[in-house]
Amino acid sequence: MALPKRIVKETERLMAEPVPGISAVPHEDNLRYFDVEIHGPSQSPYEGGVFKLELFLPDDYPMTPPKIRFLTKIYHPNVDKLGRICLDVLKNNWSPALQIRTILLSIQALLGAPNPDDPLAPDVAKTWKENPDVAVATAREWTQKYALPQ
Amino acid sequence: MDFTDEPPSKKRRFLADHLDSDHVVAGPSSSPQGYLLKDIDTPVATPQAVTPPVAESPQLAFDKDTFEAFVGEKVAIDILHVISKNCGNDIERAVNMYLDGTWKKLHRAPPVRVNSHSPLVVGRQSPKKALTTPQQARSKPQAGETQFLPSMPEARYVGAFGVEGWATRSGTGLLRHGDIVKIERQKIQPPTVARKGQTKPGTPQSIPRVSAAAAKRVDVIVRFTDASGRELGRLAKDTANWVSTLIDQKVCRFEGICVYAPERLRTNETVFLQLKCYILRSAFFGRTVQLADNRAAGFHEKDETTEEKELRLRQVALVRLFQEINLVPSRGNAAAARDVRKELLEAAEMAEKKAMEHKAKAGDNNNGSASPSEEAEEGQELQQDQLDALYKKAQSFDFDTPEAEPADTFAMTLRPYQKQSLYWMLAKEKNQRTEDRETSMHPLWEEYTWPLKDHDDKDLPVVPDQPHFYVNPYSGDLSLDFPKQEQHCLGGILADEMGLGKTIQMLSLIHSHRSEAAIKVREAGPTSVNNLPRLPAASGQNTTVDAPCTTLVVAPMSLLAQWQSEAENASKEGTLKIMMYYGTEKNVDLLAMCCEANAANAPDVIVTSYGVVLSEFTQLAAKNADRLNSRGLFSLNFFRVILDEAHNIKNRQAKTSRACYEIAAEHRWVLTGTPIVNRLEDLFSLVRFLRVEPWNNFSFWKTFITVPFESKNFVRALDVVQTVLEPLVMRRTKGMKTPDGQFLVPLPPKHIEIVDIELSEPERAVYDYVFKRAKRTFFDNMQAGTVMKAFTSIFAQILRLRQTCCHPLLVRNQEILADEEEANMAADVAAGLADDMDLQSLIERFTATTDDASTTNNFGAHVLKQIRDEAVNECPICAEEPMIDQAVTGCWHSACKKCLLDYIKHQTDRNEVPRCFQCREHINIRDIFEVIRHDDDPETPSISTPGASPEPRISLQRAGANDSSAKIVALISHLRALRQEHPKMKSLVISQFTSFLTLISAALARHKIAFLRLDGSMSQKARAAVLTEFQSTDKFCVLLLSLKAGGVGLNLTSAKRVYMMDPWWSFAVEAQAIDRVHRMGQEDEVRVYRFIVKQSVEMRMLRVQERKKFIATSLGMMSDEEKKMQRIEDIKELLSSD
Repeated sequence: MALPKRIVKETERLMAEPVPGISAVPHEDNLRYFDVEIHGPSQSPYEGGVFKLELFLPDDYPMTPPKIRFLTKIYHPNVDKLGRICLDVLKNNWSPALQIRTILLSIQALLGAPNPDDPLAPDVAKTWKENPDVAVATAREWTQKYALPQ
Repeated sequence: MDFTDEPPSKKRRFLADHLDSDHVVAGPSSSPQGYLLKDIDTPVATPQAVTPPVAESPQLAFDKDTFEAFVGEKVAIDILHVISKNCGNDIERAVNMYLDGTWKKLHRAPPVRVNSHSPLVVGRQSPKKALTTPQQARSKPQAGETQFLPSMPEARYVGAFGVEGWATRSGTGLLRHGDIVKIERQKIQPPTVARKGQTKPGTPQSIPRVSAAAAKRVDVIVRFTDASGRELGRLAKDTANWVSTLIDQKVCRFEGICVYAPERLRTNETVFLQLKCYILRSAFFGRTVQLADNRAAGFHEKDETTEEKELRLRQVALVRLFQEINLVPSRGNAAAARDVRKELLEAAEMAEKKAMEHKAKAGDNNNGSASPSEEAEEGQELQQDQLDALYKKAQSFDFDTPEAEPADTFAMTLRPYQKQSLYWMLAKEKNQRTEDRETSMHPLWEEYTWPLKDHDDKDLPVVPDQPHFYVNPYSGDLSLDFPKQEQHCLGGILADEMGLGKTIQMLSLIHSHRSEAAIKVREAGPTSVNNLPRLPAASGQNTTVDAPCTTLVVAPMSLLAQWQSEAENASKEGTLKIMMYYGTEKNVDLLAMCCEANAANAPDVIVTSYGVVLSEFTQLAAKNADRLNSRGLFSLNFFRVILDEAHNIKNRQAKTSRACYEIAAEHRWVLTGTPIVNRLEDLFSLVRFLRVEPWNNFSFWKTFITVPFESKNFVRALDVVQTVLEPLVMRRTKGMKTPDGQFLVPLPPKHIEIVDIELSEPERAVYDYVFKRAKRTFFDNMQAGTVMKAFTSIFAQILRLRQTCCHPLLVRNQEILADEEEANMAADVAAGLADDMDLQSLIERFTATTDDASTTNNFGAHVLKQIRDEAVNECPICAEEPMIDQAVTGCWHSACKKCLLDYIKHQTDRNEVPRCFQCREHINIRDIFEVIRHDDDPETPSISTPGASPEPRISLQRAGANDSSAKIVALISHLRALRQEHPKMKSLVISQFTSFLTLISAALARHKIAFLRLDGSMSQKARAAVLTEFQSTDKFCVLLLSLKAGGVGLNLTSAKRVYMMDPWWSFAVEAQAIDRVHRMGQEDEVRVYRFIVKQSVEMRMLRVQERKKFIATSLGMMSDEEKKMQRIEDIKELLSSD
């Protein structure tokens, strides 16, 4: 199946005008599969970390949202152990007007502003709400442990 | 041949000299006396002997002596009585009645007869050639009988032959070698009476008039008697078969000599006779008169069956006779004579068989007279190759034909080939025939030489100037006159293919050949207004008044205006007075207007429609009124009559045809692109209208065209047809090339392209539903064998199916269908379909997704501006730039229409409430608007301020799922693309469903595409107005044309594109409509788009079209039954599974 014009255009633009702190590179053998790296936002527990994600554009993209998952372990109330992300625009609030770029920006923003009220990892969320300092420290620790650039 | 130096006309004048005071006598050519008397040139026999009574009585009243003088024989008193009672004191009618046998019908009661009427004794003593036969000796000349002796004796010897007979009595010495026996027909009477009668020689025998046809069918007995009239025996059946015919039909008289008979004769024993055959003088005249009489038969078709049967018998008998006496033609188609005879016999036999079968089928169907519906079916269809062959011959146009320049009052320039046909037409009208045709013998006749010696080698008496006689083996006619190949018709058939300018050519003829009266009057200037029309003294029913200046044009209604405008364009100002005789303009006294006295003011051209001709004719016939009193078309004898699109009269039984035959005119022309639509009979009607002798007699035509053709003797039939056509027809085709390789009329190329249409999903649902239903009905009926019964219903369902392809609404809406031709049958089924809830809901699904009626444009300018600006952006969904078919949501967010709809569908499929892709507002599919940009519409003013670079105007229109039906959407998109490319091009949109045209017109209006409409429901005036407007507008314009209304005649060369919205059963009909555009006068390439729905009956209809590309079945040329059969086949193909 030929790659839809939309995907071609998005990919080109991601290459030509990359978003600071974000990179997304398609696999050569599958142009719908992207290796993504997101830099942890500054003044967040994730600062200094580079998080790897995988991103896949399903056949009916952009009718359905891309499938996206953290590969790097991360301590975050909205990301579960498997790296799955709880984010409205990846679910109900998806719109075909959204793009890879905007989704990745949303994820970056999620790192800066975790939302423990709508958790995916309940234990993390609980800690985050009851004992925020411990949570932030753990997050920082994990970042140092798993997400430092090599 | 000496006698050819003396043309018959001269002799006719001789007759007229003596009858000059008599204005009752019709024109010499049609006067039977002319035939009778012209050959009487021996001094004793001249009609001068009868002049005294004639001179005394200017009325030439009926008078026994005169009458007998005319008929040349003594007439029985009872016959005289009958004739005098019925002839209306008119000697001419009396003679006719006597000679053609009409009196016999009037003469019902078997009267006492004198021998002079017995078929045996028709011959009378001829002083020149005293062939005293026993019968003649028996007939007692009455005192005071005047003997007029023509040069042709009452009977003339042609030959002798041997026959077998068998004795009916026994005895010794009854018959010896050399005995003369009389040959008599069986007396048709109860046998006992007959026998008694015969035993009394000399007693006048009365032969009761049994129905002639019935008698001949059963009785062929020919007996021979001795000198005293006693029956000795009968001829063998084989011989008797035809000898009886010759005797009965008064063709021959036979005289027998016994060659061998046994000394002692016993009943049933064979005797050998030699029969001497004499052709009777009456044989040379009677039938000609009959033909003429039949032709004049007036308003109602005669029952021709009996006549045809007699003709057949006569043909066979004559052929057999010539075989027996071994007489071969001395001239004529002699080479093939033997073959021809054989074929003739076969043809006649076949006809007889057919007649028998027919009779058997028809039961006692009034003497086997065919009912009109049966008549309508007669005549086989021509196969295309036969038609081609025929046309090919008729089309052998000689490019060296001289040209004629049109009169200087004619304002147009003719092409060379048109000048050639003008020359030809002028020659036809002025009767300038070429020399060789003048002297060539009529191709259907054969010349025979009278024998000079009899069978015993004795000299026979010779009649000076008459060494030959002529036989037409096809018609059984005999003649003493040299049969010239003569065309009395002062007109013809202009059969140029459509688009070669038939109208213009006729107009040039109208200008270039005016009657002498017209020329005189026009030169003299206007005459006194007091000069009232002079009516003829005696006004009979068939009298007409000359209209010497006027040409009558009869054309289909749709062409009337075109005739008028072309006539005006083709004439210099004031040189041609044109009058429309139609509708309210009909309230004029044509008689007074066109008669000779008013010549100065008479119209040169009267244009009328077939409908008017028919209605005036019907009135005339209903009231049995006097032609003159009607003061309409039939009161005049026009200078010229022209039938345009003359295939309108191809059915000789149709009332319109019969009405047209009755139009009186000096010159008669027919214009048609298809002189033969699909059977040879089509041509007959034209020939009949043209009054081409002798082809205008149907039995004549049938004998040598229809019958040979149906007996598979195509070549000869077509040869004969060609003989008929050659001098009458001028035909050129568009494909013809001049010797230097040029087309007659170079036409720009034409491209036909099929546009595949894909039905939208709801449309497909409706289609599938109707399809299944139709298929079930059809195959159920097939199995039950009731297809013909259910034909109407099946056909209506197919019609619905075809309509579904156009627009599902057509299926439901009976109201818009009301004007459809098939409305009645459609309504039947519509009723059935309308009750159907499933279908109903399917259609509602379709309507729910369409929005044919409303346009939404009431938005603020800023919204529109914003939307317009957005249009240049890329689609947020598919990233196309600019958007394809920009559409907006109710919250004014733009995307490609397809993307937007896909997304909504995607959401609804997951049972989500659709939301805007941008603002996540809830949106409704009903609130999606398509953005219509009017940059392709030159008429729409731009919304931007004047002077600024014009920004395209846009408007919004509810998109729904469909704009309309798939076909309409495709049409609109084609038209819009066309408008952008050629902002002034005109095009034609053709559909057979006027209700579909109505839906299309709504869509066109929505898209601000200017259109006009022409369909069958419109009055003539309205049509003319539409045509003029379409012709004259210089803007982008679409003409909606119904296939039926647009099929013929119209000239629409100002259009360059044709959109065929739906296929018809035969492509020829579509092609005709296309040729309205692609015809002479077209200067540009023509493109034709045929919209065909994929995977539907329409696709299969194309296959049907392919299959019968060559048969023109669709314009009502077949009988209803045939049509149905044909359709059933078609339908089967349409419904069969792939």
